Amino acid sequence: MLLAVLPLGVISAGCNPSGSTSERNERWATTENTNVAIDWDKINEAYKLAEGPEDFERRVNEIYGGREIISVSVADLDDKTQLVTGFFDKNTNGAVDEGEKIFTIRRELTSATSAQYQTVGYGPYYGYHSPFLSIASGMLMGSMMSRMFTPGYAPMYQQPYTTSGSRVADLRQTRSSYRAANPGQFQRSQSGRTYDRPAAKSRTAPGGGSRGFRGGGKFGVATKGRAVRLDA
Amino acid sequence: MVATISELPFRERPALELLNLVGERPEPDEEYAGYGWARVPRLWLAERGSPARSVDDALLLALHCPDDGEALTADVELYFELPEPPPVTVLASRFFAVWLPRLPTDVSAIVLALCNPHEARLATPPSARAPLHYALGEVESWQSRDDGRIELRAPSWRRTP
Repeated sequence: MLLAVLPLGVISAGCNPSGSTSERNERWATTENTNVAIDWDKINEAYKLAEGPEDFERRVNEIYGGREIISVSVADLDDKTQLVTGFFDKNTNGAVDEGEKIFTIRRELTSATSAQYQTVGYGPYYGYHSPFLSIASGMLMGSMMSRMFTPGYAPMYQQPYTTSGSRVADLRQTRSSYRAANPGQFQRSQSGRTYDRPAAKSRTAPGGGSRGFRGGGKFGVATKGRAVRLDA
Repeated sequence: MVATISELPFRERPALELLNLVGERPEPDEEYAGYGWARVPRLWLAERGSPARSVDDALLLALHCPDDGEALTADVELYFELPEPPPVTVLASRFFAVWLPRLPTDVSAIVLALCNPHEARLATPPSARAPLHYALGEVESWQSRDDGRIELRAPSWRRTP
């Protein structure tokens, strides 16, 4: 970790090329198909402070309040550009497939001592765009970010890093421990639902459609407070 | 204060009430947290890609898993909201060991209305006297407006020997 030299945090440059409205820069962005909000400020901060892809994915999964594990792909597109993709690896093939992507972070080196990055939401998080976040050599940041300001920097992820299947199991374990130790930080949506419970509109009815049927209940619940385990 | 598994208020309830099928709603209630058991002469298990199949003379157990439950390969964490907090969790295997001997045994099948998001493969509980039907994935209850049949829908169903 580098020490802060400039008394500045990440600076919003206030530039949004997508023409999106101010709504899109809200800290919390959800859509009707999303039941777990992502704290994008924390995701952006996690990227800035990460010591590497594995540290970043650990941080991301501690921030995310849902049941799924968020996998990460880190790819250096060229000497100046890094693209980080967060995704739900639903088919567990270790690749970003159609419909799995939930966010990207695109980082571009703008000079020898400055860079900027922007986070964009996809799928259930479509609609979120962070401002361009400026960073400068000397700011407090992790080595995943600071490395690009070192003399003789060469991109490390021309061969992309992607969360492996075994790593997913590790992340699940690590996150469980984190949640147990930090129950108050667990983010829950207002409805208390998790993302992978499909919203009513997207629900598929394996029995041949819901027409002619009325709904009853669902047999998984959002926990309310800390539960006590009974063993006997 | 519930201190042991045997003290859980796991009671017999009318099947429609147990499955939250009392009242009219277009979709299952995701907040429904009721639990208990019922004997049902027939219900239908529906899964993707296959016609629903009937299960007759069943002991129906309505249970819930917590949304942040432990990922286990051969067991499911159960979650019970109680009249007085805190809620409690119990492993399904331990719950069955305590409760199945107390429930009717002269049935042809035991059906779990229980989400199994981690797709744990369950074995027949030692105290079970009938095959166990359980789901892989999320479970919803539905009732036909035409003939009143009860369907439990899940991505897939499994049956122990």
